[in-house]
This record gives sequence, C-alpha cells and structure tokens, in this order.
Amino acid sequence: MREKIFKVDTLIRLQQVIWYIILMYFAALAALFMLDFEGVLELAGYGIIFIIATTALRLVVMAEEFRKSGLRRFWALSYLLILILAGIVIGDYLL
Amino acid sequence: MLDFSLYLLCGLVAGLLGGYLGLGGGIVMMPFLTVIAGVNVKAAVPVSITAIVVNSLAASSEYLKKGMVDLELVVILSVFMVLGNITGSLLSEHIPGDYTRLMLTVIVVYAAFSLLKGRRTTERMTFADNRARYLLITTVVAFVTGALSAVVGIGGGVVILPVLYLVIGLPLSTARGTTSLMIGFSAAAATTVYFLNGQIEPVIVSGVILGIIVGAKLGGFLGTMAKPLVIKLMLFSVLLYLAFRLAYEPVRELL
Repeated sequence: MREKIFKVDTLIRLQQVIWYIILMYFAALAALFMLDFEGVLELAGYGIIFIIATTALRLVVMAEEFRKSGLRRFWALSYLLILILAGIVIGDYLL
Repeated sequence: MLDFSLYLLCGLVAGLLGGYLGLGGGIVMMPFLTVIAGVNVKAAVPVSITAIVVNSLAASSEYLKKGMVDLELVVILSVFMVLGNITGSLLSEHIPGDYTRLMLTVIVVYAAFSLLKGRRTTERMTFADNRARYLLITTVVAFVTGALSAVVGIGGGVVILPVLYLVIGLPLSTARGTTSLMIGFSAAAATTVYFLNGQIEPVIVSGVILGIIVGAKLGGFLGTMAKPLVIKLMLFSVLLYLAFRLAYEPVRELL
C-alpha cells in the first residue's frame, strides 16, 4: 500500500499560505481601487502572475510528493502536465 | 464603486456554489457577470477562467484535509483533459458545433437523472483500488471530455464530475474533491494565454477574485459536510440548467 505514504500535508500547507497571500493582496487592491490609486492596474497584473506561478508551484509540490512516495509514473505524469501547460502558453505566444 | 461591489458579490456567489459542489463556478459566474453586472462576454470569459484557478485553490484545500481528493486521478485526468482540449480546439472548426451541443445536451440530461437516481459505490473506493480496471476508461473519458469542452465551449468541472461518479464509480464526495483540484490546473494555461494577450480586465478580475477566494473557502468547507442528497439535487439543477444553455442556441436556429 504505497499510497498510504503519500502525504498531502505540504500541499495543504502551501495552498493555505497562498490563499492568505491572495486574500491580503486582493483586499489591499480593493482598497486601492476605492482610493483611485494610480498604479493599481499594474498591481492587479502582478496578482494574476502570482496566481499562475503558484499553480505551477502546487503542481511541482504534488510531483515531488509522488516521487517521495515512490509513485514514479505519477511523478513523471505531473511534470508532463507542467510541460504540456507550458507548451500551450509558449505555442500561443509564438504563433 | 457599485460595479466593484457587484464583481465582488459575483465572485462570492460563484465561489460558494462552486466550492460547495466541487465545480469551477464558471457556470454560475458567466450569466451573473454578463446579465447582472453587464460585462460583455469577451471580457467575462477570461475573468471566469482566472477565477476558476483561484476557486480550485481555495476549495480544494478543504477537500484535501478531509482526504476527499484522489491525487493520482487528478494527474491522469488533467493530462488527458488538457490533451483533449488541445485536440478539440484544433478540430472545432471541422466539427458541426450545433449537433455536438445537442448530442451533449442529451448526455447531460441523462447524467442529471442518473445522478439523481444514484449508483452503488463503496464510500471508500479510490482510483488506486481498481487502477487496472479503470485506467483505460479514465484516460479515454478525460480525453473525450476535454475535447467536448473545447468544441462546445463549456467548463470541464460540470462535465467531469458526473463522469467520475457515474462512469468511474467514485463516491460523490471524492468526485467533488478531485474535480475541485483538477479544474484549477487545466484553467491555469488558459489564464496565462489570456493574460499574455492582455484580455483580463484588471478591475473586474480583482473584485471577482476577492469574492471567490472567500466564497470558495467557505463553500469548500460546507461542501465537505454536505449531505449527498442535497448535493445530488443541486447538481441535478445545475446540469439541467447546463442542458438548457447548451440546447438553447441550436434549437432556436432550427425553429
């Protein structure tokens, strides 16, 4: 039963930290919107970049947990998924 | 100010319902944004997709804590759904969209009633228990679902959830948790593309994200304690609504 070794604690903790950061960041953005702050649109863009980057990070953490559990096939599939998603973005950017 | 509050409310409602049912929330958000908040469809789609990523992050933590996510299935489904999505996008010009929509309507209505009727599942069954038996069917189903989503232009969550429950035979709770996590990964690529093309409206997305991050957390928490019958009835309503949306345009054109 190799699956029993698989630990989701790291993934849960990471997701909770990201949740707090996004909540605080976008709550601050909302306040800045109300105050008509000048650079607020640019800051919103950074927020979206953070969301995208942390999604990739979550996938990497999941992949590494698969590796630690000895589930090599799922480890490889996780990185394949990252590659496919990156490929879609790069493909769209280049074409 | 009023607009921003509307976007925030939209995110809150979509997050609550999406998190509760294990869906992305796009099916709630799109009509809310376009009809109530008055956002045009071209601007609403990128916002909705970005919000799905956040919804998945917030709601899936609750499902993960309760052990209601099949992570192996998340990876397999995500890979094949994304591949299906790419294939669907490439083929969409050659496939008659109206017929596909009508065909999918029939399947969705069938799934809605089957879901209500329920099926016998072992509450603790996971993909790993029956991997050999389900591997092929899982990959095929994920690929086809991804392709259909791309051709018809609907989110993956509302389609894949009944599939996990009715075809693969996962318990409804695990099916919701698994869908909740995987939809975020498949939506992330689309979000990046929209962002690079400058199609995400910062004001709308900021309001929606703030609403959805709170709503989805609460929805995910409530969803882990929800009674299966309540979930079934709500999913039944969502699927019937989806069927109506799918069939509306082609039927109107036929008449």
